[in-house]
Amino acid sequence: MSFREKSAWITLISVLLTFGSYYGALATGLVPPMSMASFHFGLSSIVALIVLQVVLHLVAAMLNPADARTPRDEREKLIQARSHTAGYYVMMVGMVLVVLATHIPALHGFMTTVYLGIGVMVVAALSVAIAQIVMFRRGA
Amino acid sequence: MPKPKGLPIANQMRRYRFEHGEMTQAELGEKIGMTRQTIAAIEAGKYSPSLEAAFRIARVFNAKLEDVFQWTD
Repeated sequence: MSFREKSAWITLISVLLTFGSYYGALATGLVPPMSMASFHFGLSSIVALIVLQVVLHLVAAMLNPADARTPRDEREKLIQARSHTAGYYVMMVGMVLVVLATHIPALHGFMTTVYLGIGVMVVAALSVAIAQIVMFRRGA
Repeated sequence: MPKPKGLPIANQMRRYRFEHGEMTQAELGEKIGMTRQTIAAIEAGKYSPSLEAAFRIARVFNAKLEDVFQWTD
């Protein structure tokens, strides 16, 4: 497995762990939505995501330094471009859905829109990572 | 000769690698600035290299482009 594929797995796992637990806690009521606790939990999730990404990428780079230092080749650049295109479409569709959701009385409210907006960004990031993994596994 | 599914380009890279001292995919990749995984994908017909990459590969083997890569209908 190349360093870039490992990087995609790292992103997938770290985003799932951090924002999965964040939205899981909100959905189950473990952390009350629209509270200071949820705000702090959100910030902690972002910090945890950054720490996880840095640490796991460092570990992956130390396991194969030469691979990590090698610049992206044309196939890896193509995979990166295609995956970000996929993520862009997910983001656009998600944002339109968020705008539509603001018209539903049950989902009306500034913080709900913020939760949904961040959720769309998380899903878009997951889409990019998943698309990369699929393309790396398939060849391109 | 790997005949790729969907891609109309076949290649002789495996044979050429064998004829050049059983060069590994990683060694070939290093010579042309590609990862081993990309060389494997090209060889298996899962990825079509750019024209520049194809020329670089042929050059490593001191072969003509059309001897290494063939268009198959």
